[in-house]
Amino acid sequence: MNAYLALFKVNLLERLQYKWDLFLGGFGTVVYTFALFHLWKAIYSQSTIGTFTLLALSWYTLIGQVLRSAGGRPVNDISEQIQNGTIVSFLNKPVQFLYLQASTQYGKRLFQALSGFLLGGVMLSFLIGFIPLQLIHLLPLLLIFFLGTYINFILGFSLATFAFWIEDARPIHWIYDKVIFIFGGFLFPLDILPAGLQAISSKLPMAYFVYYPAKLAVQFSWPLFWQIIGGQAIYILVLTLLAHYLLRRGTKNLSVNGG
Amino acid sequence: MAIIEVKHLTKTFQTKQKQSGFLGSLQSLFHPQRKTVEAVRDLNFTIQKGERVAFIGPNGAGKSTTLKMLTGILYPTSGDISLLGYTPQRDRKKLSYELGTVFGQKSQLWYHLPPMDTYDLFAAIFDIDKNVYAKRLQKLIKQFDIQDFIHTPVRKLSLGQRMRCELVAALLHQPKILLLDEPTIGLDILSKKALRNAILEFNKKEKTTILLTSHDVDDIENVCERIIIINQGQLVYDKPLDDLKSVYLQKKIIKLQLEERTKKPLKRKGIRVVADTDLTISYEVDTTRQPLQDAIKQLLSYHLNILDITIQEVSVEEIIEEIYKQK
Repeated sequence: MNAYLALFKVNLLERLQYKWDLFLGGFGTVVYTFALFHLWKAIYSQSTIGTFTLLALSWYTLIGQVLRSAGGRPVNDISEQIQNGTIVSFLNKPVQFLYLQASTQYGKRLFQALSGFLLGGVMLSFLIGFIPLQLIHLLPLLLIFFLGTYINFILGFSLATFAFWIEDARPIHWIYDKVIFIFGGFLFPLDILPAGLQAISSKLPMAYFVYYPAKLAVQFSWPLFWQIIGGQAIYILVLTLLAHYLLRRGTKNLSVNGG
Repeated sequence: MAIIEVKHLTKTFQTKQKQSGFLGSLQSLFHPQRKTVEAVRDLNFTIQKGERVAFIGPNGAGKSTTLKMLTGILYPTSGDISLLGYTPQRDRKKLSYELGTVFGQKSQLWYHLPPMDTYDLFAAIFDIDKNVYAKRLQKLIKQFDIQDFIHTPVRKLSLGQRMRCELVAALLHQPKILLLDEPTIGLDILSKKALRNAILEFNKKEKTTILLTSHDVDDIENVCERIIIINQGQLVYDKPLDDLKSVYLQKKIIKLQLEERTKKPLKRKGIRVVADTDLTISYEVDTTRQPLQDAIKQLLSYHLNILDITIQEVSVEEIIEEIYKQK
């Protein structure tokens, strides 16, 4: 565990070398939330979306964006490491490659996600009001956020292992990214989808790291909390086993040529 | 006792083939062509504890592939590898505690942070006790003379400074075996010398087994005591460096500077031309077939207008080049 905390720390420190990058990353979240806030505002002048108020939906948008970015993009890093051969420096260490990547991604993304949340939060507080959340719900919510970002990571990691066969898994991730956009509840809550699609989407793992956690943040209830944590536990177990399997198969297929 | 054992090691892999141009790209998209490459073929060698071995060969000979199989990163197609009794692919985690690696072209230091941050990280990864780590690091800092830039971000270091820091990172967990893949690549003469001295000193003090690949003959001559040459994935030479020299030292190079060119080069038993440029001719004399004294006499009587004459031993570089050509 000590090794993974140290990996997290060293990646966090490295990101702190890029102060502007941190700020601009957060600023991207602000722009996205600002644009969608005005879209929702126009829509809410005529109708509503599911059980969401405009205030809840605006904060849902911000939290969804932050959660999506917090899990990182292991596919980019792993594809690059396989292509340029630097993966050898990671594979010959006495740590699990899967958790090495998790620590790295969390370290790289934490500040960016926090800066996005703070900047976006300040903007939304001025535009429409403070997040409808009670302080007592903060800890369980943070647990759901953490588990959600881990599902995001582990899904990205599983896709990234395809790079062991095809060297560059980024095109696969591009498709996956679009799936999250619509069926993960990233662009809008799943409540907006037709009943059939909504039923399917709400069972997908993507819903457990964007839709449900963001919904819980603005419409907290204990039944919803237990429903989410149960679903997250199942997906974490299944996806972690899958990731280990793919990694074991993938590393046997690795070919890094030249010095 | 053999610390590294490689038996009948073979590695083949597939590479994509593509014709140039747009049509070639389209063709490769729908009908990808693959070629099977035998990077390593039936390789056998053993290395004893504390040995310093040069593992050399021309580009594409299979050196780096072999090294990566020794670390357990690449899987052999067939054959067996044993390092300290471990099978690298099966026991990669256990072996990593005993193995230090430096891949000259692939840094393992965090690029935007000072080396010290990477060392702290590696101490945690290798679970080194805090006091042991502090003492060991101080010792390595002195040995490799890196105290002046240990807190400077890696991106601001010169290549020579970075390579010394890379070596410290590889040695921090006190490995029994050190695999160095072109550690002096791109370094200036002084940095190379400093790095070689540091490696030698470490080997003497800690009895670390060293397997080094390099295209720099000075690395081989100054650091190693044994030389393994592979070409096209096959072992072509495996002997002590002194043996290599003693066999090839029987050859001498006689370089003649002529006043004017009147004749073609001399052809005699045991004498052959190795370089012929305008007014300079270099002959290689095989002294086992033609005594040096006789060869000089014959050359002096054949070329009557000699301005200058020099006699040299064949360099290790030329010897290795000869071995590459022969196989």
